[in-house]
Amino acid sequence: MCVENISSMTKAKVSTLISQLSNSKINKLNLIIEAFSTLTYDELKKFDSRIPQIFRGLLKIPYLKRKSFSDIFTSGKVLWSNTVDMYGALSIIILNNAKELNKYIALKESLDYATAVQNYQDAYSLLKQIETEIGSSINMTYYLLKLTRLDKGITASTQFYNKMCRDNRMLSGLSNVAFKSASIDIPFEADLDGLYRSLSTDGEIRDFFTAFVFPYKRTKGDGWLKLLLYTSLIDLYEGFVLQLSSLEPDRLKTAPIAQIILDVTVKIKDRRLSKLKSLVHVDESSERSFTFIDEMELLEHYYSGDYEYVYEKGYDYLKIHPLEGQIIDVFYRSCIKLNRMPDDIFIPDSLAYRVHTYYHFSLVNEDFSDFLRSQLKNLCIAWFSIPGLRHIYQLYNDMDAPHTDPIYRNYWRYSYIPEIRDASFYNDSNEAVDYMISMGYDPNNASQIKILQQILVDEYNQTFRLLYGFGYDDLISYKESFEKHEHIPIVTGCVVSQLFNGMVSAGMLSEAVDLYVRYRLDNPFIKICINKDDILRTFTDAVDATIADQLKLSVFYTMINADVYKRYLAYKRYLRRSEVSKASDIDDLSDPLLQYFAGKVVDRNVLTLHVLAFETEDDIVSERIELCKKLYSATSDKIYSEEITSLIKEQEVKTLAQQVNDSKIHVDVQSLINSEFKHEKLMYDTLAEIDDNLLMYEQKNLEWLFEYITKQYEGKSVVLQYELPTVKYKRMLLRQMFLNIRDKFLFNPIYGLDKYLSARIRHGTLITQLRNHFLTYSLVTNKKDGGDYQYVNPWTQKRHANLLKSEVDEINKRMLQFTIWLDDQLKYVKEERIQIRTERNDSKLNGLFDYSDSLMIEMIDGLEDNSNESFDSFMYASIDLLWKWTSQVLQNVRAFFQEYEVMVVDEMTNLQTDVVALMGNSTTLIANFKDAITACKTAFQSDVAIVTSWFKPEQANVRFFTIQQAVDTSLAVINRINQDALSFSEIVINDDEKYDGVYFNAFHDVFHDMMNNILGYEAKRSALKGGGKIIVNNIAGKLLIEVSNPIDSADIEGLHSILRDQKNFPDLIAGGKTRKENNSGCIKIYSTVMYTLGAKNKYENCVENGHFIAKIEIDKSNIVYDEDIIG
Amino acid sequence: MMKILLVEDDSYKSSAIISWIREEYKNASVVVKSSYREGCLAVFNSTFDLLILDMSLPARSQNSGGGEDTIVNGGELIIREMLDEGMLFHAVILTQYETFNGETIEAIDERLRYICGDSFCGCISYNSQDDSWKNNLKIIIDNVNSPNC
Repeated sequence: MCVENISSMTKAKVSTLISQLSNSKINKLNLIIEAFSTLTYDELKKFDSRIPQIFRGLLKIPYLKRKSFSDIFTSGKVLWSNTVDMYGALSIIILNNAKELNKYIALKESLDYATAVQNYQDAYSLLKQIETEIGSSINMTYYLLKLTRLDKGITASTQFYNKMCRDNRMLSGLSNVAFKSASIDIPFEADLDGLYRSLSTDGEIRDFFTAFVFPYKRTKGDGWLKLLLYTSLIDLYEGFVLQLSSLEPDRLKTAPIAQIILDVTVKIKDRRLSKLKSLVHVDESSERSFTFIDEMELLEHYYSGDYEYVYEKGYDYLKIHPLEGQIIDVFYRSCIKLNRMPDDIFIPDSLAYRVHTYYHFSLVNEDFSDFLRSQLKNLCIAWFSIPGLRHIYQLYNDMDAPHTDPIYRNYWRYSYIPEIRDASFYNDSNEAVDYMISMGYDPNNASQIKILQQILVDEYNQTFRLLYGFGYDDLISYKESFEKHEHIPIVTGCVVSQLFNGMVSAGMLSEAVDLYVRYRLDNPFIKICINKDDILRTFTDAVDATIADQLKLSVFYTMINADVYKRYLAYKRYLRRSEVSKASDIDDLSDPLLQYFAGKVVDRNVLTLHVLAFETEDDIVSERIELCKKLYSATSDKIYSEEITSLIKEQEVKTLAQQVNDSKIHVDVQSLINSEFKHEKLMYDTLAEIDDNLLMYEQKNLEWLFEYITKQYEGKSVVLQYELPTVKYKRMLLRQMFLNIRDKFLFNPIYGLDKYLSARIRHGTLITQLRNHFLTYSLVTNKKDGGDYQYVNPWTQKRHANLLKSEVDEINKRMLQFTIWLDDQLKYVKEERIQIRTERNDSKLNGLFDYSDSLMIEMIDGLEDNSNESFDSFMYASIDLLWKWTSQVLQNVRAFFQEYEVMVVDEMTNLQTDVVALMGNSTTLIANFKDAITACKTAFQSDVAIVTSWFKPEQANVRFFTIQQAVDTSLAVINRINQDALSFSEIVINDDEKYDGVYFNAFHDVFHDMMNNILGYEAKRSALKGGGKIIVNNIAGKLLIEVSNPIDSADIEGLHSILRDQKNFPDLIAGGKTRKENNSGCIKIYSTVMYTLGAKNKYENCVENGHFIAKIEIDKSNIVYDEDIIG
Repeated sequence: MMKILLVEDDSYKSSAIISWIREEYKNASVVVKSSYREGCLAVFNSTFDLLILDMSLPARSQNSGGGEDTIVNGGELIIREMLDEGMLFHAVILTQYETFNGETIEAIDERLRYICGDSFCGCISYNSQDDSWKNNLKIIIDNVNSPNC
């Protein structure tokens, strides 16, 4: 068909539609929609130009100026499914609303600035102005939601979200996602990804959803655009711009879109569209709507290496344009190049401050780069509506990609300042040069143009290769060219990425490793993109063994955070080839590569695997200390001296913690001997007066006697037939003496075995040790404040549990049953079994520590042989006998724990069977649950081994210690079994005296009990966690210890009862009523401070300024370590 | 006489395995080690016809000053140590776990067969309430024991 015919057909079509507008019976809006749906872009333009003025307003689609959020999507029209030109149709609407949209664009820019710099009052006002003057929209309503979250927090934003849902139920699904993505602190990307994947609707609605609440993901098609007529003017416009930005260059450059972009940018003053226009229509003569003189200056100076300029000017620029992503990028890269930290530009915690901080540190700080990158991405997703953040998100997304296809290929999409990285829009570098010139860069002087032009003569020009990739045939030449530093600094990471991956694909593995390691050593903060899974598939163990440089291989694996075994094998091979048995045998660490090897490759994980060289944990620590010494000597970097200090401290704590374990079973025999056997001495002196052969009747059968007396009383005549046994009086007295000594050995409230059993085993430690892993693996729950167990078990709440309600209930019941059973067992162990019984003290009939005289009778009678020499001889023999008996008793205790272990493991097996049967078809959950049971069984067996090891005769090895060590050990011991739950805001020890090792356990007991109390309190008042302090001072020969923790005002009254009781501690101890301390440990602490550590000490508790404070004053004179005394 | 090395830290499991082996193979001797280190030392110092390895092992045993370090894939690492040293062996992994670091035992089985070839005899799932592990282990032991192997 000839052009004339087409043209006349167009005219006819348009005329027909226009003429129908005058028909009063026709719905004019429907007709407009028909026009939009059936006409091509050119036809639409004709329609627009010829529509009578009276009907012109219809082209604005007036209802799009929504009065409120509740109106959106509840009324409107939709373009037809087979719309001829979606973009054309929308552009006509946009052009007819140019005045309103330009106002919106200007207000939005101000809004973004106000939000970024925490000027929230202005931001709210601007939002209100947009709503009033241009209309309500989904975009701005969600903006307000996020602003509320930023400004007022989660409660206010939740309330606003609820109101949004009430106002517009139809959009509640979208609103929910917007609400979830409003946080800039809590990572939500994984959550959103899950929601995104679960979208099961068809293509257009899914794309609609994507555009509004997952805008950082690309839509799949453009059919969804027709739904924009159901939204609002602002939403239509933003959707149009978003969709245009997502198109590929080929599409943008072709008709009619290229023309649409040109036409729209004539009237609409939006930098985003203007950029697209500049890219598509490279024309030096075309008028530019925007100029970027300052920005282009900054970029030019960066690319020519003038970082000072960028640092100075960039700082001032960013104050006014806080979220200009391209300038943020070159500014912080300049800071890194100059090794300078800029002063804070913005108020801390403002959006701009966060963006700048995350961006800067994610470039610099290796250790946190992944974390900070994810925080930055999170923030960009939350505020994707701000153009600068859109750009940063795109940049990071591409740089984080596992492949190194041109890393900047999307750079042009959301950036506004023309620069060299836009060149990936073009297939041809000539076009890119033309583009740069058209944007105002000086063709003769601009650095960026020079770089681009280089490709005309140098096919290996890195930047262009970077932008377009390269073939593997070019690898060597490309590498040579790159190593002559013929590249712009900003692309180092990208180029190394491409070279590295190219070499790996080409099988040049040694070269690839060499390149990676060299560049990372010199540039620790560059991001080199690799696909770790692909790398590990290529670098098998067999391949690794063939790599010539195992040193670099081990460093490479460390740098890419590969499995520790990979770097261990490389490390082992390197040592073998170097003919040394361990890394510390390497003398010269002046080479940075060897420093990296010694410092980072040969860490504890690698040394742990090197079992043939390092037999014990101590050997590993010693090796690490040696390496740090050499590294410190080579580098003077205090990080190594700090590590040495930390390792030495760890070894000391370990030794002392072992002492704690070895000293659970304790009796303060010396103190007993010094002060407690006066009566027994008197009894002994009486013995000397007694004839050896004097007999006495021994009434043993009291029941018989009682029955006899009763019958006599009842008048029944009974013949006394019971023969009373006789016993030598001396022997009986000896037995008495022994039993008294025994009772003091066992029950003296200050020095006796039961006191230490209570303090060192029963109070907190035993149950925690045997229960902690059950909690870790969620096999038990804890009690709530009211005293009931938490009913809902975490296993029924796991994501993807896929359980029926009935299954959830049954599982919770069974798990609760197990929890109760386990706790009952533990209570029984603590309160009934780890208890002492004798014939005189038989309240604990199941006590394993059975010292009943009937059991010991033979040993007791054997003491008679020691009775003639002296009381001391008898006393020591008695104590010796008691320790021998204790050894036997401890064997029984250990055997008991073996049985206990079997019983619990069996019950865990039953639990697994029962619960798995209830889990139905949840195969993942079942597998994870089984693994948890298996892991818990293993851990539980270790716990039982630890507990069993407590029940052996005491071995005290520590000669001396410092208070710092005592505090560190107590904290380490508590945290080892409480999953590092306890921390202090301040620990200050102003005393470095050495104290006699015999007092170590006493200090440990005191600190342990106080820390345990704090831990227990913080479990109930978690808001106050971590607020405790330990302050130790040394004044005038006294050690002043203060341990405090913040308390809730509601608890002060309850604590006063402890304060009242403390006046009675001496009486309670004397009366054997130590169990009246209600598990606070205060009496034990008092007893240890006042009796074990010396008599002139003080201990008191008080409540001051919202803190519970334990104050201890210890006279140092008797406990200081005397180095002159040997043994 | 068939010489078997069992590296297993769970005393219940190792008792069950040993007692089954002794009942089933009267002429087999079983050496038991309970840590990664002990397992490595055993394989480097002696020759065994078959290695039965638990997957998750403590790095060192408690009584040799071992701490609480657990090597999640200790059994696999013993195998890879031997591969690295060019040693000949037959090994089977016998584990109660269903997954390790997100990898199922079927996937580990496939991966180790790929790396080790015929030296690796497979991964067997151990369950104290189910005897199927015995049947699976028997197949492997008989295979290793056969004169054609």
